[in-house]
Amino acid sequence: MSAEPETAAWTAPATHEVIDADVLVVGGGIAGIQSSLDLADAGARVVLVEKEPAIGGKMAALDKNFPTLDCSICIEAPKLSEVIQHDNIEVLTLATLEGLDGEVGQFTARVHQRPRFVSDECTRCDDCVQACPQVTENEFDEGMASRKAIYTPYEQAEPGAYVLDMDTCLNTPPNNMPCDRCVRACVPDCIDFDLTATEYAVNVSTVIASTGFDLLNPQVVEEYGYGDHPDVLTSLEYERLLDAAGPTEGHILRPSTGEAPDNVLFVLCVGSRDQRHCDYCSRVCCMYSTKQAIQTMGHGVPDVTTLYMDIRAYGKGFDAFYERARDEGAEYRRGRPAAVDTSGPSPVVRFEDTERGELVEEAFDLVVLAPAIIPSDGTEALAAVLGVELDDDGFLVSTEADGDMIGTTRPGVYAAGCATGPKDIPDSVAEASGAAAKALEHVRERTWPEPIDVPPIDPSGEERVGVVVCDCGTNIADTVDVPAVVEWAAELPDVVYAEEVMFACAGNTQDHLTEMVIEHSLNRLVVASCSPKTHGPTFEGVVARAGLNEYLLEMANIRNHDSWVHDDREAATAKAKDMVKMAVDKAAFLTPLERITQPITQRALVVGGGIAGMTAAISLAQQGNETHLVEREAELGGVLRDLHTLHPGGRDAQALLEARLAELDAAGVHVHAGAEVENVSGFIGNFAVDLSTDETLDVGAIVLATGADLADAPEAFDGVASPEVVTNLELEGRLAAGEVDAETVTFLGCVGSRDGEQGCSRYCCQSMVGQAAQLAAEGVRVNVVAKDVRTFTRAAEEAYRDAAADGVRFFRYDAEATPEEAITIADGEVVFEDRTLGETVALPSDLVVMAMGLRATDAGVEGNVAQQLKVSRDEAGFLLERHPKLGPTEASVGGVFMAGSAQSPKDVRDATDQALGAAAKAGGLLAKDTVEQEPLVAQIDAEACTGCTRCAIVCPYNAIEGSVQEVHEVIEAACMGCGTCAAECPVDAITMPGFTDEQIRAQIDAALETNPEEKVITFACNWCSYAGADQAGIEKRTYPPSARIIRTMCSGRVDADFVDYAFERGAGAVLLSGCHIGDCHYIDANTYAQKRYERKRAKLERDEGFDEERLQLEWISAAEGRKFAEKMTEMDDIVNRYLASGGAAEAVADGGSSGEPRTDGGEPHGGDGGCSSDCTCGSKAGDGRLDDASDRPTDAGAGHDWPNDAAAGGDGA
Amino acid sequence: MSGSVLRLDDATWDRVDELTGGAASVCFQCGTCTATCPWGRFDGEPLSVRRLMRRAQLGLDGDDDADELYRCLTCRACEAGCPRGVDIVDAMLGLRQAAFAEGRAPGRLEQALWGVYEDSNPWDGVTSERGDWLDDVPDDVDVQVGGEADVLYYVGCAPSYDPALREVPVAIVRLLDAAGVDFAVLGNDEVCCGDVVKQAGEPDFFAELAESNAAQFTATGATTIVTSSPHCAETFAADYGLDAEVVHYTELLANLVEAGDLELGTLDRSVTFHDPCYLARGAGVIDAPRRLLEAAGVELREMAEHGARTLCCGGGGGNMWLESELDERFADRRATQAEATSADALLTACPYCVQNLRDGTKKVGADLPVDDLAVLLVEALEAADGGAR
Repeated sequence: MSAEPETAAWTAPATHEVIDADVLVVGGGIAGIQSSLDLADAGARVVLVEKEPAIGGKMAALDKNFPTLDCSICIEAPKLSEVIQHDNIEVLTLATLEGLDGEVGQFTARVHQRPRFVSDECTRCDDCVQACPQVTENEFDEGMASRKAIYTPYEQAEPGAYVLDMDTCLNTPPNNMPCDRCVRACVPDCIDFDLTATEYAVNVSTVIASTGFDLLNPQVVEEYGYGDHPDVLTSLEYERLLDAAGPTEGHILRPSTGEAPDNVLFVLCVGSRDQRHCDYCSRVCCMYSTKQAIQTMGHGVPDVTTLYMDIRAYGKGFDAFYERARDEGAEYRRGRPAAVDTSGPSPVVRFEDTERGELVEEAFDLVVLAPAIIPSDGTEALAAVLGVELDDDGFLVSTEADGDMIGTTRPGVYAAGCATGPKDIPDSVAEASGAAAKALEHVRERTWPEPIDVPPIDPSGEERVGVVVCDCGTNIADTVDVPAVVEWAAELPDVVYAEEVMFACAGNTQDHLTEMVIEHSLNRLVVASCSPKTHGPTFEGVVARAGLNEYLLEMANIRNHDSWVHDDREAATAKAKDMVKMAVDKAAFLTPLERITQPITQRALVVGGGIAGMTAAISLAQQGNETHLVEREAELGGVLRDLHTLHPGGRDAQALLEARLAELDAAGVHVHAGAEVENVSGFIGNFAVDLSTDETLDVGAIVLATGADLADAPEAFDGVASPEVVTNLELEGRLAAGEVDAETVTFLGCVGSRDGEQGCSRYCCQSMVGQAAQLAAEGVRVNVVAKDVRTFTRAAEEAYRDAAADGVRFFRYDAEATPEEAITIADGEVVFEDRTLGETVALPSDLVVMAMGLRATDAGVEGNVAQQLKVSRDEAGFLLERHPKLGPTEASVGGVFMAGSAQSPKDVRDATDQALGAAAKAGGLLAKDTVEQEPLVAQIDAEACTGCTRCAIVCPYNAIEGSVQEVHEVIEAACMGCGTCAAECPVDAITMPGFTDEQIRAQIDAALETNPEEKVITFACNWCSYAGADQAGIEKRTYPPSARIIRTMCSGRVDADFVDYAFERGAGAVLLSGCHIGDCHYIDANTYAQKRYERKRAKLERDEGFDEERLQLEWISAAEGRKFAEKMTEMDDIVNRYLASGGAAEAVADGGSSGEPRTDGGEPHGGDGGCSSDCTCGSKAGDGRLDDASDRPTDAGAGHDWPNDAAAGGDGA
Repeated sequence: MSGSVLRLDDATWDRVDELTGGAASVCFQCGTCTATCPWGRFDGEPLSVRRLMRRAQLGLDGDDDADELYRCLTCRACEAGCPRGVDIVDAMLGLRQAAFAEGRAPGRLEQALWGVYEDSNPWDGVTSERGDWLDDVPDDVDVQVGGEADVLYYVGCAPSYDPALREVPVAIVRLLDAAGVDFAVLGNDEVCCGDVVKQAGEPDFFAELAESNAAQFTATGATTIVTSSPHCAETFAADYGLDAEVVHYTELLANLVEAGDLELGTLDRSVTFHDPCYLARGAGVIDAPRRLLEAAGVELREMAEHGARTLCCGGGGGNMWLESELDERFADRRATQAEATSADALLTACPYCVQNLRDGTKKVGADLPVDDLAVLLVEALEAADGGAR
């Protein structure tokens, strides 16, 4: 953060300003962004200081994230604009911290901000860039592309205006060449060379340092040839090659030849775990290199090799990701390059494959180095300004005084993310939220942003739809003829304006779109770009700022569902047009909705009294919330009670426990020990909780910190007499009591971890190394038999080396086998095949210690708290977080948060960080009086309702009241908006806002307007299948362009009528899709979709001349991109078969494919007393309601597809 | 895979641990050493140091392992890349001690050891003829034999007995003399430094040698000991526990040139320089020879592998006494590399390297004279004096 030499006149501050705020955040990467948003959302005023011209940090430069393969900037960009737009956050870019006086509670920070030379009036027309004659290396592309002296760091950069780089510009000392081409080119006259620096005095109570990291320049590892051969790259350079917005537009090309490589080598631990450079493990390289390996194969490179020493796939889903890479063909070889010969046309790498014991000398087209993570440039100077200490590696020292990694050596100064050592995004984000929690304890007064004050647009008149079609750089424009789509869209009915934009989500483009809505008096906006799941809120903000109700926005996902999954430009363009028309036609039926405001019960409940639960409870209480902590055991502490020494670092676990208990007391947390949560109901802001102690609590937020269980010991190791076999937890007790009676102890790693769905248990390697070192220090002979040694966490790799130096003997057993398969314990010995020697080794032992993996608690227990709260679980049974990267402490259920090993196995340090993060999130919610809820609540038309009770029967939330033959009513607060009732209602008396019958029919009509027989109407639920379709796009899994996706909140919303309607309109096929049974976001609403489907299929089977295969059902989860693509391919086959069978000809004969909707009830019907002439389903288009009750079908069961139980319930009523 | 079960024996493990100074335990078996080992580039069979250590720890080491151990050139190429900072050469020498004790050391190395025991040198030289090189020193150069001096010049066995190398000590004393250094040599009383004994794996005799030599050195009162060979220098510096500073002659001379005590004339020629591995990697002396070449006005044409990345001549670690059955030897490769630079001469600064590289150039038919740097420096000295001396 050191300022540049203050020689030039323009760097001397000419302006002085004072800002009063609560928290200063230094560093605007993802950690700083997360801290700022959490604080601001909790009512704290934040000043965010960033030395670069834009916030976003390294994450903005990444192409994809692991293990989700999310587009990195796509998930970060909404946060960038949120930060910029937040009234509680002041962002100072090009700024450095120069001084910090005072103490916690009353700091004054001196911040120096260099001028941008471009004022806010900039319209981003790019004329200045065109005019600028000076070219230099583009930092964002790691110098692999160029930029001008006046430039935007990257397209989505925030704040988005241009910036002038005075070091490159001609018109500044010491260059002194009068060049004002940009000024003359700038029509709005917003370039001003006379702008000067500003010095701010920022008054805050606390400071958060989130200064991130840099990569070690691999030139210092001389033998790897970086800088000597163009085809030896750093991982970050390679990341830019992978990025569609990067220098090669996403094509992997060899810098030497510009051609695609046939093979790529990834080299891990470049400077990490290396006494000559960085002793420590850099923690993230194993996984991002695995991600890059997967992407490389996805780009069609056939031969991908990774050289590793230990694969440190320690996080949630990491092991599965590593496995996926290998399944897809990536070769992992254990070894470390000795040298890279750069003299030839391709770099030649020499290494020993240590598992085969063979020397390899091989040429690779590209060699990608994963350099060590080092403290960001200027950390030393910043630490001096902050008055905090650095460790030997140059990272900020975290005192771990409270068990977390957040506290620094100066009270009131906190650290988050890579400032204290290498960390991945979820750990950084959790820690950043944790730092926010710490800072919130010092915020005296909360400040709330004023609501947007713009004149509202009345949408009630004639529909005026605006269409924006996004290029997404080249992501869309490369595959879809965007100008053609725009031109076409402009001619659609109701459309009054259409425009192409390069990046719709870029901050300044958002402003432009807001102005566009106002300027053209739009009352509906269609954004054809990416997924509403990631960017819906962004564009809702756009229309809201224009005064337009945010529910008058509709998105067409022409990226994930079109350009990313199709190769044929013509077909993709045609599909994009259909998708835009579907959105435009739906938009015409959109109505403004108002968010439902609910009061919040400002009281928190933490479930689970281990280290995570205690920490979260204390933090919540210290933030000023009445907090209740429920623990089923009689005593608090969880597993911490049985621990004595925390590894690495050797902290006293009991002292930490004592301190926590005292803090709980001091903070006034209401502890309910020996109590269980029996019943919990309600929703965000208003939960009702019944405890087993007959107490009842009304709370607004719930933190689940229910921990994890030790895995069961393998049967094969049970009852072995000699040597004695114990768990690591049992050993912990003996160690503390000084009762280890053994001369030789052998540890076994991965007992109950890395097995099937169970991934790495994350805590055990460092704990095992620590216990082993303790024993060795006492003179015991110690062996460690592990798969990989995953000492990834701070100071753990050093502990591993020290343990080896102190006599602990390390061996490796088969990583692909379970311990009981690979290891025999008998007759006083532990016998296994040593991987690095290829020999069977016997270790005489007195005691065997199993490093036990952790398993999800309560996963299969009926009625457990998580289940009652509808919090999903992952494949291993751990609680599923909202987003693996950016939402690690939140459940997808509002008002529910998670901490510690309940989410996935963690050590005390990580559990504490995450607990603080959860406390920040929960505290932020409780700081407000009210919470806003989506207005997607069912509405019953009292005049139409016949009181048949079907809706009440199928409602998963019992949110519909009413009895037989009485008009039903919806309990707004309880309705979650799945729409199952609306699908079920025989008289269509229920309206689902945002997903009305007429809106869905309009989409079907639009989709089938041309060549309907070639199309597959695909209903996809918002939570799983639509996300799965998004994922297919993210993974670039190509499938035929016949799919036309219609999003509903739940598959339960899909009315059987919609299927009929689609077939009547000539659809080639119809696919229903949703969450897997058991995973439904609305408990079991998808089971009704299944029942409807089964009845429909049964009926179609009886319908001669109709190929019932044309209707399909498939459960596709959010993670199953591949399955989605495969299903769409299968559906396309069905359509083709239908076309080949003459079905289409028939349809043509019927007028079905002439481009006009068919109006007769036609082909799909007929058969056994189904929808005959008296059926209403074909005549409801554009109407959606029956006016005449006499038109109701008399035999609903036959004519429509009621689920059996619902029908039975109805009949019985 | 042997199929048999290796049973870990604590005593064996501890012994290896002790012999290797703990190095074997710290190793995490990444194989960097194996892939670095220059042997791999000649016969495709590198020394797998990590494997040798692990096998020894488990008591699995047999005769094949001993052959491997003695193949090690101790050139330290592997150490440069070791991420765990393992002192690999020390570990190898430790393992050799075990092999020697079990009678698994190669016979020829044992013979050399007996030579040192009986005649104070491993080259079958006669003790009374050790100082014969002094006969070749020009009369106007005064060389003090024995007695006290600021600097003790230790000549070494190979330059003393190999007629082709005798010009080296002659050159060095001329240079020391020209620089006005107060120095002495030991003449016939000089005894082998013991490097070959140490390399063979015999610790007790080596300790004896070191003790008596050290006493002799101390008696001269020298504060600096300068050597012709980097091998001797390393042996003294690492194992003798001397108070005196031990330097290779290139370091001393480079400093003298810089201090203005030694004036060199300009030679019009180009040379390439082979860094001896004990000098460049062992002692980290890379600049000194180059500074001297620059002072002599010589154009230096570097080979691809130079400085810390130098390729061993094949003579280190006792391999001067062992036969290599390779079609292409290290020195042959080196000679070819040197020839490719089109330099007028190939220089180095180690007696073993001179001997091996002369063989190598002959074998590959390179028309390239091989000399010790000292010999060229004397020419430069003469050029400065206008040949007056």
